[in-house]
Amino acid sequence: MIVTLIQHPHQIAVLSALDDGPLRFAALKAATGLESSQLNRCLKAMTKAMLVIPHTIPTEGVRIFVEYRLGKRGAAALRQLEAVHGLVHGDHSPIGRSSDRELEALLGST
Amino acid sequence: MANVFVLGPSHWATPRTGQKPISVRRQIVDTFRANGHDAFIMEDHETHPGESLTAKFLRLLEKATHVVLYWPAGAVMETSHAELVALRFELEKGKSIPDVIVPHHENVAEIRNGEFLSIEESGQIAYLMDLARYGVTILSWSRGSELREMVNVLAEGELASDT
Repeated sequence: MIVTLIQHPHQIAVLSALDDGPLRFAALKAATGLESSQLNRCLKAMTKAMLVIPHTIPTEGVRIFVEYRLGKRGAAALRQLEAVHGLVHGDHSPIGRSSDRELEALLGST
Repeated sequence: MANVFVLGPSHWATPRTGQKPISVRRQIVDTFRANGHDAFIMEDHETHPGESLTAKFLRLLEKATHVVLYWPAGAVMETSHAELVALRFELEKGKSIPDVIVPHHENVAEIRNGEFLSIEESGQIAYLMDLARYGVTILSWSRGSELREMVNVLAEGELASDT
């Protein structure tokens, strides 16, 4: 799973954005910087993989909006990525400082 | 451990090869049971003497912690509609109902730019859209293998986050 995710940096960005709690589409778009079409594709694939779980927001209106939550599988993948980052982070990073910075940016960590 | 009430159709609207919807529902039940949950479909329970089908549905609903509503494309949905109406009446009476999870075929509905939209032209989906206004989990699949994987993940632990 983690190897698949590393090949899809947009999905890592979505997982990181959802780590603090559920978000709606507009908030996810702002957090990840993805275009709508990219984010739609990404969320569809991530839902099929059960990395994120969409819930409809209760409403009395006509339009039904959705919020996305981190699935247990998504949370586990994120923890694995953070562990990898923890192992390789630092001045003597075995993956190289540029790759290290790239991973750090994707995870949104300090 | 969750008590999962698996709803959905039993037959296709037009003859087709492959599994009938009721067989898929039984497979969903088997997956939950294999992971230590109690899961059931309405057809597997006897109707008590003098009990109406609605009363039976509500009796079974009461013992459920989760409802999984299997919604394929091209099935006879009339019974499911009646069950959805009963669910809505319970909500409108202020009663709490189990968490509802809807694995639906991607030709039936979709999420676009964060909005849940019906794309089925028959209008059957209107009952689901009504229920979605109360807050449900929606999972879109296109192939049987995707549905099975989703149900596996639910059975293996995802449900526990809701209980």
